[in-house]
Amino acid sequence: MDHDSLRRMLSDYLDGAVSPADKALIEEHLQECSACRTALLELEHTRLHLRSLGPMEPPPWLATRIMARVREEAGRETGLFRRLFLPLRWKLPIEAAALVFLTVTGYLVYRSVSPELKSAVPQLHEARETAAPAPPQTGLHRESSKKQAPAKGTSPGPAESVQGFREKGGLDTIATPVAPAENLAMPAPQPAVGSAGAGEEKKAAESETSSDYAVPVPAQRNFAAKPEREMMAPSSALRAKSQAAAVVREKRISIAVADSNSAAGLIAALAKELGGAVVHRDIREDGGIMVVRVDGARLAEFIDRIEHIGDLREKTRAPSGAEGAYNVIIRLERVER
Amino acid sequence: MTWGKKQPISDDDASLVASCRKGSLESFEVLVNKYQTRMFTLAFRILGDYEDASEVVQDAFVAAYRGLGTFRGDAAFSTWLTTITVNLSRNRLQQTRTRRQREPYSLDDPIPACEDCRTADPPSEAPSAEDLLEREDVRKRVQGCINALEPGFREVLVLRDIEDYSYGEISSMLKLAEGTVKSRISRAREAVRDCLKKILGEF
Repeated sequence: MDHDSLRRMLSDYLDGAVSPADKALIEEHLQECSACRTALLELEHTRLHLRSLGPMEPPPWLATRIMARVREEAGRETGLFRRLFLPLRWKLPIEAAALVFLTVTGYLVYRSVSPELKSAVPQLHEARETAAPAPPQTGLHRESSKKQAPAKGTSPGPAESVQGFREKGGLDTIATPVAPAENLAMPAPQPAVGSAGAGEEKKAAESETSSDYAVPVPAQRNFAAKPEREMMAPSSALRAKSQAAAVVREKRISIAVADSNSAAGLIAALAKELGGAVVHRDIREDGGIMVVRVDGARLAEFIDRIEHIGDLREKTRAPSGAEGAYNVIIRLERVER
Repeated sequence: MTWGKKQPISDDDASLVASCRKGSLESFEVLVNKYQTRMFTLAFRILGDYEDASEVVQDAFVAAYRGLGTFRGDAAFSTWLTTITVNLSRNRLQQTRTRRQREPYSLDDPIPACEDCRTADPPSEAPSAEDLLEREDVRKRVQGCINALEPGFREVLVLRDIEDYSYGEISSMLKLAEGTVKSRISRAREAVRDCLKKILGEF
């Protein structure tokens, strides 16, 4: 080890922080090198000067100020802890009161909603009870809650809609709140036949009977298609209920025709002539179904003139004093002539 | 004679700390009174400024109080408190130096820039080192030489030669390699030696 390396180790040597081997080398070198002996002596003196620096007297207020800050800190921590967790004698009653409040609020909300639900469910039962005893007269079956309502004059639903309904067991599968005619207290509005509203209303269900029924169209659609949504959305129920006032009555007719398509065209033209509109059309070679919306005041004329298009299977006439919108459900049966 | 670490560290520290953790401010006050002088001296030797040292020591004790929950007791309370004080002193020194926009002192720079050094008598007329040790102005000059060191060198020098911590302890406290600690102490001593030689003459 050379002189410079040994000299750099003098500080460590002074502190006894060198290995025994290095210590031996350094001491051997010190015997030979006066410069390193001087350097070591100066380092010792330096260390002596540093160690001689006595303690500094702190300001007399230091401990007091430290403790003031510490007490402030302790108070802040305690305050935070208390704000979060204490005192329980206050926290617990407040939390209990909050729980009671929430429970009561929930119950009141439920009570405010439940009448809507209750009114909806009896309607459903009522509809079934009303519809069940009525004999299927025309054999018209159509699922009421088909989703799509195509434009006027087009065939809105696939043929299997009728067939599918038959396979499902007829009315039992229809959840359509249909009120009997004698219970109709609400006046039927005068809808603009063929207006934009017709598209909505042509989703109206057709009951099994040939009697005249008032069909609360929107309510019918809502309850039949999405009753569970109705349960969860009381506002929708209220809206449906209010819209239920817009009733459309039904009239069922069954006629025999030689050519279903041409007969359907004539019926559509007749409906148009009388200010009505075709709201559903499902015509095949061997027959089909049409639903025509006409005003009650023109219903008698419509029935009279439809006799010129085909042979009525059953003599029927418009109810006296008919008013409001009517959905005339016409079943076409092709007969060979 | 050193006065720092060689002060007996009472075993009562552990019980006082335990009492503090239970919320006893009186116990913490005992610790404050016990260590305030030592921490103040440490901070002053590193910072070289009375006001800064006062503030740093306050901060150090408050930080220690906040951190009592994390103090595991692996080291003595005094060592833990010393580490806090050194770290805060270093931060303060950096802030002060940045604020004052002063040129950092370097070991390579000409020796010091302290007022005492500049006004020192010529070495030939200076009294002997032994006489000067008894005088306050000598201590100021020694402090001036410490102030001329870079912060990293001040810390290790104060901890070793004033607080009497071992290399291993300093290494652990400052999270430095022991070789680095040795090297810094060696260079710091040489720098102080050169400084003292310049202002005190032969010693």
